[in-house]
Amino acid sequence: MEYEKEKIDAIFNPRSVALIGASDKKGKMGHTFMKNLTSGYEGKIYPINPPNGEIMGHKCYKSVLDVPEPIDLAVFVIPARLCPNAMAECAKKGVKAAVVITSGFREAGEEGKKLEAELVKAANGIKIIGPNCFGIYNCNIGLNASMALGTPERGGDVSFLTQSGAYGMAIYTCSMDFGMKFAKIVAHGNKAGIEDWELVRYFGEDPETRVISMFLESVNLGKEFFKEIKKFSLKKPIVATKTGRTQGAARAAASHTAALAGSFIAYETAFKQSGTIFAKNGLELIDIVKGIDWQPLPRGPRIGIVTNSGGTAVELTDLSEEMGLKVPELSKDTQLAIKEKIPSYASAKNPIDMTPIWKKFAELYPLCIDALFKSPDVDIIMPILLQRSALMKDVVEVVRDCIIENQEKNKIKKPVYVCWVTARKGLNNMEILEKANIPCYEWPYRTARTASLIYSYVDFLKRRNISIDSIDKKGMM
Amino acid sequence: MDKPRINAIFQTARNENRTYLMEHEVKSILKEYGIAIPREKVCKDVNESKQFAKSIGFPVVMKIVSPQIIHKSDVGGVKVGIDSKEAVEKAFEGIVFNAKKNVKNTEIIGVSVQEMAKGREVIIGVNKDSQFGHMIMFGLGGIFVEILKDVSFRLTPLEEIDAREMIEEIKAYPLLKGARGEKSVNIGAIEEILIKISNFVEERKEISEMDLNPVIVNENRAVVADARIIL
Repeated sequence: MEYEKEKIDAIFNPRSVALIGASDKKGKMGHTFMKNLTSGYEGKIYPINPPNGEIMGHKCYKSVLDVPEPIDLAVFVIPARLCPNAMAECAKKGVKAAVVITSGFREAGEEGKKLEAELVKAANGIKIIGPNCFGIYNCNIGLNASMALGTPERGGDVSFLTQSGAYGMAIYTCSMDFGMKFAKIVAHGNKAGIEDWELVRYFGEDPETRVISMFLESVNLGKEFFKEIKKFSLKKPIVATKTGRTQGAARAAASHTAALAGSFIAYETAFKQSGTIFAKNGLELIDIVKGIDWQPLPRGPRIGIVTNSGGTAVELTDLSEEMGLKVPELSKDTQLAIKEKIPSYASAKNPIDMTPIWKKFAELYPLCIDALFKSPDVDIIMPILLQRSALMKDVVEVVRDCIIENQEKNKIKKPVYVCWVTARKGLNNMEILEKANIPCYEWPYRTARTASLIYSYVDFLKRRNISIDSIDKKGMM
Repeated sequence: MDKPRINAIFQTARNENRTYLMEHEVKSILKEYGIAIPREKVCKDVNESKQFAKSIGFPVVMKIVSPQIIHKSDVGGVKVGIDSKEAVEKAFEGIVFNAKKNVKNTEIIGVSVQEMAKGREVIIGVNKDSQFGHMIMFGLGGIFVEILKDVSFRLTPLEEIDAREMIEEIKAYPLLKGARGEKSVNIGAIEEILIKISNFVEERKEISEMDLNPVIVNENRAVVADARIIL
């Protein structure tokens, strides 16, 4: 079980890509992939398709063997029964890695199993992603070798490994909607030629990956996987979700990827023992990744809440404390400074409740948030923006500016998780914050849940005497 | 550590087509790993039993020793709190009688006479997950594990921090630390056993299940009162 870094590099950083099954006919997979490949990738592209002369400005070849230059990566979108032969040609050509999109292999029964074995044999050492997978991205070099249309944005540092194509892509797409940027993405399908532990190690050693995230249904070679997540969670946060907990779900999962299931308790234990943050579902995964990637890690469990709604703050406090965090009373000095500015009937204990005096929101929110940044009593700041405060653009803007000033200029290492409660017409304003990498969580539950899971990782590191600064480079701007 | 001796124990079981090791076999292995077991002896007859009981002091525990019997209590093969020579004699006969009555074709090697340890009961279990390999379980004995399912798990290999945290994690942990005026038990001794068991199963992939139940722990030490291994 050797680790072949060079071959995995050929998947994410190929100098040249051959698309086997390229097509100029709209609607065909070969057309989608051609479009995606030519949308941002700057390396050499070789469409492989017998009849055509040229597709989208690139010379077509009948076979990889006809291509004069070396090929690092081959992407397969041809029918399953044709794949083994084409793979044999790739092996002859010296291709290093392959992404086989096509389905109809091990997940499709006995015939498919045989075909998959043939495919692996024909590969003769080529590193295979798939078969039966959605594809891969390296967003930072504009490489989209996947079914989903669109050029991925550059500048991301979260890498994502998913066992589900469609759901994985939904997670990816929806996060992008909120402004998440990714580094590398891989949907590895049937895992015929690559194991989970190899990808964990690759992302772990990759300087462009600062957060590793995974959506898993099953894991092969669990012991090796455990070893890698244990090792790398001490270097960067790892967030994972695993489905297939209940009997019904295990049945659905098994038919999907035909994997051998380990017991769920073993997975849970592996995540807990390694310090991997275990998200209960895909939505939580996005929430946590957003919070960890955009904001500093919390250095402690104490939350300071600012709000224009007392009731919401009570709910947020309830949930946070139930989930293991604290909402401590602020010190007398901090309270005094704030009490001077807020109405006499308002509270500065924590939560700081300015009451619904919307005319003063633009003045009071930054003042209170600033006070929390400077107070030694809190480690995490949760501003509640509810109804009017969320719908007033100038309020949202001053909140943003206050946070940026404290984090970037004053270099205060405290994360801000905004608790956002308003109708959908407020989403434009949410974007103002999210574009500035300030995460907004709709309603108190998601805010508290995200903070508690992120803090559980910090708690794990503390118990092992790992410096939070060493992991949290964002906190060291 | 006498590795050849341990290998021989496994080999004997395989030769006899047994998929499990008997209590005294497991205990001799545990001893090699430096894990405390009660003073005990497999006695062939009543006199030997009486003599040994006298030498270690009452009360004692007596258990059937037979390659066919793995669930000793279920067949009436265990008697505890034996506090006199007369009681030893009665227990010996009772145990052998029950064994012969309840289990067909038992080969009776003898009756194990063991010192009766005092303290809290904890359980340490090992099973093998199809993906992640050996996983260790910890909990307080009796209803805590069986009914309340108040247990913690860790995958091997265990680090010291894992052993410590898995003990602290269970809800009943305050009982170990000494609730209601009682003294704390020797938690370090439990941690030590967890680590040693982890080392042991890492070296013996053929073990599919292991049960140390009960491990009796008091403020001084932790002693494995009963144990079994399934291959």
